[in-house]
Amino acid sequence: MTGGHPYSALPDHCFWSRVHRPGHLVDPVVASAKSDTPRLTRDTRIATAGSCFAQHIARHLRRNDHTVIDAEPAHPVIAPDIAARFGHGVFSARYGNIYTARQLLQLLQRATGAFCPAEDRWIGADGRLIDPFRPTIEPGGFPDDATFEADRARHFGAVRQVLQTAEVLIFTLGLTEAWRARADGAVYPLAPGVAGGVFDAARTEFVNFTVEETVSDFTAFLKLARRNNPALRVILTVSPVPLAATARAETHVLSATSYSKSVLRVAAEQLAIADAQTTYFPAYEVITSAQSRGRYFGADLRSVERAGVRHVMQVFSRHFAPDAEAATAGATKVVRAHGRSQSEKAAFRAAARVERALDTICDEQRLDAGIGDSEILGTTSTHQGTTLVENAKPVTR
Amino acid sequence: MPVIASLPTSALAPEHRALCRAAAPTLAAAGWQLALVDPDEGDVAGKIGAALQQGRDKNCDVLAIGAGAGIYAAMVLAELCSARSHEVAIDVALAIAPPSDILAQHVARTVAAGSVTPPDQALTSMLAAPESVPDLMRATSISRLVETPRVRVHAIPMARLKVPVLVHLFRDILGLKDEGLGGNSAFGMRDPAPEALLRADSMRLISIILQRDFAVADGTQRGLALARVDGAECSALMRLIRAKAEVARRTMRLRLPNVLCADVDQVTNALEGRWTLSMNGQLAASADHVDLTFHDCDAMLSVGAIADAANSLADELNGRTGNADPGNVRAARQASSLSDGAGAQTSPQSKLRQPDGLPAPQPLVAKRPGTRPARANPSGPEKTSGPAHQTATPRLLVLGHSHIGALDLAWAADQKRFGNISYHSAHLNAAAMKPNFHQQNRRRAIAPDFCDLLSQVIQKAAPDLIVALPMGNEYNAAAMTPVGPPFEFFTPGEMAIPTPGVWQLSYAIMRAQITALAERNALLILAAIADASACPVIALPPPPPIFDEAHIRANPGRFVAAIAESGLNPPGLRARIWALYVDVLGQALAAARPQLMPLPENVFEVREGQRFLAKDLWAQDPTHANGHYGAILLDAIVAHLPAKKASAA
Repeated sequence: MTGGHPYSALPDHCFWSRVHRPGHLVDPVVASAKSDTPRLTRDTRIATAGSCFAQHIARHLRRNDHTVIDAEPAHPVIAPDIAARFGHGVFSARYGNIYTARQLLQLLQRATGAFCPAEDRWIGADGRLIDPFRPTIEPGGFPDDATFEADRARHFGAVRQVLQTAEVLIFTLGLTEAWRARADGAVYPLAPGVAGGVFDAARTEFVNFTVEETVSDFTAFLKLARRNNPALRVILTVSPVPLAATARAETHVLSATSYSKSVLRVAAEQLAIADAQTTYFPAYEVITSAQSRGRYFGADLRSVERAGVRHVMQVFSRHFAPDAEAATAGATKVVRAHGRSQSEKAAFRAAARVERALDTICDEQRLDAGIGDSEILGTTSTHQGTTLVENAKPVTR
Repeated sequence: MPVIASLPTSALAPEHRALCRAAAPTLAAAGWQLALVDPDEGDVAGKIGAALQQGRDKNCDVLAIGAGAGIYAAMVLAELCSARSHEVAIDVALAIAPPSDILAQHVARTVAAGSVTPPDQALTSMLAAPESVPDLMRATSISRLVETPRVRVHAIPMARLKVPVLVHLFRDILGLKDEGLGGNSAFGMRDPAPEALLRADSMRLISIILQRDFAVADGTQRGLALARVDGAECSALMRLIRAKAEVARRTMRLRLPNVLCADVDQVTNALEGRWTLSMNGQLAASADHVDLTFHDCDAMLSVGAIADAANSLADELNGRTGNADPGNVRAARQASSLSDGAGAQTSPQSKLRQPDGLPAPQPLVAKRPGTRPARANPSGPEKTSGPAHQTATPRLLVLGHSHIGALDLAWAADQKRFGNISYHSAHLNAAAMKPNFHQQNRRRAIAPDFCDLLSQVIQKAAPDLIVALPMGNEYNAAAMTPVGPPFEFFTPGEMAIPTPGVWQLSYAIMRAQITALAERNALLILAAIADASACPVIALPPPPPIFDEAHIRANPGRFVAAIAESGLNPPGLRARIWALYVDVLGQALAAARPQLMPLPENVFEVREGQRFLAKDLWAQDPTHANGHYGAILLDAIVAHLPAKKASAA
């Protein structure tokens, strides 16, 4: 054997010094890492779920006219920002943030009737009902059992629809720390008492999922999902957003974050290795690596800035949706022209139409018939006291 | 097939008819039908009505247009008929109507002189080279503006043609500034007319009103009629006169090429009855053109001058000596031009005898249309601390958008009903007040200029009570026409059965939606009004919706396209959204200074378990209430007016 060493023939992306070049976008995706990397076209049916970072991904894909499944859309009469407050259009169904693999697994189990948690609703002081598994999607809660159950049934149907029709699921692993019911292990996205319910240590316990548990849960989820959708592919990401808080009193939140993200990162790696249809996308690395110099985090050092999301999605588009890369580069223009879901577009059109109408209705009143003699001379909306401001806009524009 | 109902009148009628007919083939080729309505042939109202009905029957657009502008409707539409917005066309026609008189006169003169410029050729040449014709300037450039979807055009009687319409059109639609109108025209309130003109115009206006609205045919009868009218009729007459005087205040300056204006007298004669040529040194001739300044006949009329003329006429008929001495007229004009409300209560105008004792007008925002007043306080609007006018009469200021029209109508119809109050209103959707909003840090906020104007209006009105009804139609963004698939929602506690196949929305999300709507519109304005004044403020809900779908479809207003496209929401849904909107306003204002005044119970009718606007209170409109509704509200509002001591004066 002559010359060289095991690193001699390796490509540039294997060398730290070669991937960090000023002015170059850091792109940690290695195209050849997986031969069957999914290629998303605008017709690929994509489902999204996961932690809050996953919302950015879903939003970006929608703005680039990807077919992101929305099985529980808001009615077009509801403005998108209001709809989002009620969990519409945030992910592919109205399940809110799903932080752990166990939560994802249990969602599908509940939606298919395989799991019925004992504590399936929280009753607020005002008698309104909160869904423990998506406590923020109905601000204020549901008014009564019938409404609650009808909405939940609709939601479960939507979950089934999403997972049966999706070609690709993009899932963002967010946390390892969670709270679960001692009685049956039902995992809540938020601890009881945070957004509903009452914390009772006798009924609820803390859990910090391990790599093995995460891998096992996600694998179980995949197995269940592929019963009805064998071709389902997965793109896994790990949320770069640090823990807002750790429940481990003996641990600093920095350490807890490091641990949690490490677990999730290892789990994602193992899942991608184990399953040919699962791919890891390194959004976590783009945001948190030294190359970003921390600039992708906001002032609170936790929120991911828009520039970071843009970087992530440029890399994502380049490798998973090359057709959309050009659109991503001109993101601003694309957002304006195509950046709304169908329901958003419908709502936008409706609002614009009505606002135009409102503007002119007001004037029409002045031009239209009124009462009394004053009408004859066209003084319908004049008055006899004082001319304060003359009415003067009978034109629609 | 669209219909134009043209109403040529005046001495120029033959020429108008000729030009309209000349345009007819072009219009017909483009699918228009020209319905000529000539008052000389009688039954004008019937013919216009027939034309309108014809349009309705054929589900087409109708253009009914008033005296003098008919010619231009035909001309402009002939140019634009290949497409597009009739509305723009009609407005442009109105906007350029005055010069059309001159052009028509020119055509008539050249034809009469044997130089043979046939009307159709004149039309063709004018359209081909509009810049060569005074004040038809840039007519062809209108084409690029006509991009809006085709909309229904409503009849606009000439009496409703207001100067701001012209100003708005020129400035905002044509995108031209006053100074840029081809260099030969300007509109504004300036240059007081000679007193002789004031008196002559006053008499003329009185004559017109008596003839048209009181069926008084000749001068003798006119005087007798004026002398015998009782208080109520006289009051109505004065209201009409005042309103007429208020809507038209303008000066038109024309630079006519001599080739078009060989004989100025001929032109001025042609304009008799509509425009008055000022002869006070404002006629200037040069080698190739003549500068003329015309005053709108109604423009220079102050209410005081009209009242004076009316009184003089009445006294003359009764054998008394009139009191219309020039000094009074001058004083009245000075008072009417005050832009500063200070001292207005002691103006000489108050000395004028007015048949109904109405308060004299004081323009509170006296400025050239389209211009902004200087900001009184660059750091923000001042909060008015209280009435500047210390009179014994409680002063009511009504602020809002279109729905305050019902209150205006009520006041105009019967002021005595409301006792001794002083009524003022300001339409916040007037061009001068727009925009109401702007974007600030990506959020919708009240525009600073609007704040200033609001503050000025309040300060000058010096109200004892403000009644605010802003953005009353905003709930219709969700209510009037379906947006997306059919949906419904129910109020908590309501025993209603969901309709199968209809999208069920939670009350919470609908409330959030309606709240967000109000927070970016009505509540912003209400807060601005409260901030601008220390006096009590009452907020009014908009009128409840109209139940009858047939009425709405027959009077769709600006919803015509939306209704045609999407239909109407069920009455129950419209009523629920209105009730929700009112509830949102009430909750938002519960802790605020503007208190929401509940609507009197007698404005409602209950249909299918929901509350709607009582039928006798509907306007000819899909959403608005009529003056009777306004009267009911004013009755309730007056009860909130604080009593004032006479000694305060």
